Amino acid sequence: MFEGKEWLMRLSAVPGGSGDESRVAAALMEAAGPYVDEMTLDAIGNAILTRRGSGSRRPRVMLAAHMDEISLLVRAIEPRGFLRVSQAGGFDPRALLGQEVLVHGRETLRGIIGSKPPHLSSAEDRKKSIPLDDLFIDIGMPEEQVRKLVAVGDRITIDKPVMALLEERLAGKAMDDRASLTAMLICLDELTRLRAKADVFAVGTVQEEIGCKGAQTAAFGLMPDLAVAIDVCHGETPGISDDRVQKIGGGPVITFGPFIHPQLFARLRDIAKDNRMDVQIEVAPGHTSTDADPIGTLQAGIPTALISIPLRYMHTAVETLDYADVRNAGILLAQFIASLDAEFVEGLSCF
Amino acid sequence: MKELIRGLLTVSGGSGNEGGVAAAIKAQVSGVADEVFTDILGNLFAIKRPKGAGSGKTVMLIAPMDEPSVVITDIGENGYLRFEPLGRLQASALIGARVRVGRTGRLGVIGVESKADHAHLEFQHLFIDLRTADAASAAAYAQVGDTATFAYGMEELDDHTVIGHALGSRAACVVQIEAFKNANSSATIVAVFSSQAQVGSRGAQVAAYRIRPDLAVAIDISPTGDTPEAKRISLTLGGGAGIKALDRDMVVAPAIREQLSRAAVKAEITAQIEVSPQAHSEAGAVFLSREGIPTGGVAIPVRYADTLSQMADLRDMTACVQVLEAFLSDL
Repeated sequence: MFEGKEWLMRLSAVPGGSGDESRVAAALMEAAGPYVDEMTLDAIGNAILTRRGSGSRRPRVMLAAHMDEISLLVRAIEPRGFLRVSQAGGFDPRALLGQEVLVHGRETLRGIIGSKPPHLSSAEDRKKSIPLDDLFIDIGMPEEQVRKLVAVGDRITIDKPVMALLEERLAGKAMDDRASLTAMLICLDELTRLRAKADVFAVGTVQEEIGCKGAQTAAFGLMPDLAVAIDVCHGETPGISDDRVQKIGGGPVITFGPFIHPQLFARLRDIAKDNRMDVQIEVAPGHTSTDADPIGTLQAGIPTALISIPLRYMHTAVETLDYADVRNAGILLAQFIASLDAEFVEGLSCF
Repeated sequence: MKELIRGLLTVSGGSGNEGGVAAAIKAQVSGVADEVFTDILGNLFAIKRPKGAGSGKTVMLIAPMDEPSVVITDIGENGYLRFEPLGRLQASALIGARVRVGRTGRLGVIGVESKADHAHLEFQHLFIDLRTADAASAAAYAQVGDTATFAYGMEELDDHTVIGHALGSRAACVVQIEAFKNANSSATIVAVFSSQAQVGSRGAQVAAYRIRPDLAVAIDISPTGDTPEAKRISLTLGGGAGIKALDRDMVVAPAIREQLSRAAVKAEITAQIEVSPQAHSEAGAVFLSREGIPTGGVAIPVRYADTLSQMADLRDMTACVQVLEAFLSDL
């Protein structure tokens, strides 16, 4: 039996900034090994896990969950060895102050994001947030040593193990989108006990945070009959009105909107109902800002759906979710895949 | 190298109107290329195949041919021309600029309406003066849809520093020409001199799709951070060849960055890493082609990249050529 929660805790801790996902790919492949027939890394680093279905007319299904997390890069090394940074992916610089980080240089070094103490800041300064350009990283070494071990362009990731809160709540740095990788793994494990006709290509994608790039190229290569992206969405948070967020622990979220194929949406909703699983519906009036976006319009078009896991404090070091939503997202995906046959896929071209 | 830059800067090459630049480059590379051709978007391809068996791999180099330009949108009764920008131009930087209509070679000057608010200047407040009496006589030199580029050419500041209005494109082309001429590789080298980079890397998209290389390197310029109150960018003029880690459109995988850095060590030249969140390059467009193309970048550090007086150091450009040569010879 796949130990999903343990794997999620492990995957979340692995460093993997956009464009530098190889460590995540290795962990993903280690976890997926027992449940798939084939595993490949493509030319730009997408991890493609293939599980074959049974029968002669097998639908080709692509799953996409991204491996990368938002990260920083060293932009300049300053006198006295402080590092100035740029970002790959959207941090809120307010949430970076005082964080512990890993600098992936010639060696992996621990560092902290420093700031001026309140005693030495003006009253005016204390009211302002500090822009990313003014943040610096302190790795506690003399400049000469910093220059030996760190180069401009080296990656920096948040250093934070997953914290288990009460019941099934977990908080960690890269739940976006390791939670979805875990849901994908749960799905692959579930499929070992179901009789699915479809060939499943579960893809750990690269560079989602900087423009959903890996999903686009992977989908071009695979040309599946249909695709499901899995990502995180905003969970209920104090100070944000409930109509903009989903309930944490309320079940996986199925997205509907113009970017989503209506028959895939309906099938996911029906499968959840048949399995007595609570799901939530989210409407995306336009783009979804997930891997689903580029996949839908590739080549002659690919029917695409989106399943999300509600999470709060997105793009901070303490992204918080309920593991039950992750597990149920995986089960929903597996039941959905098991329901697919050639007739259904043929029907998708009749919008 | 200096004369090659000077020559290419005398040719006008606005986006979509790169034919003159392509012809000048073709004359440079034809002698060493196994094959030279253009495509429907105006990209120029030069192919050099390995001597002997080769590795069976294809590597694509790409450098942009087009420079920032303006397109004529209207010819007034009085003979003054109205225009819109093609590419990334600031209206305020163009007051008093000298332009040349690409098709006819006519010179003109950009003027500004006296009532325009300079803090919120838009292109509609500017006009081109060709010194013609009326619309009919202006029509002999310019038509709606013609592109005009800036008419400055190259100046030398000292024996290794050059200033030019379109180094953003032509310095990259010159580096690519030199590297292509000198290259010796077991891989097939395809040098793409691309069209329409300024208007969204359009040439790069179709070139990458056509060539489908195993690996690509985009050659471009990148702004330096070594001027007063500049943005915190570590590239310096004269600091050596830039090796791309990040720009606005691309994050380079560490393995490819390393491969280029090793080439710099092998060539015994100084290199610097480019992290330029504001700079554009064609690397991002190439990377996204088809199933995804592993892509890196070589950047020529340039001061005043957004102005009509871009400043480059020939030693940096030579270093870029040497990095590429070493990189290609190790494939």
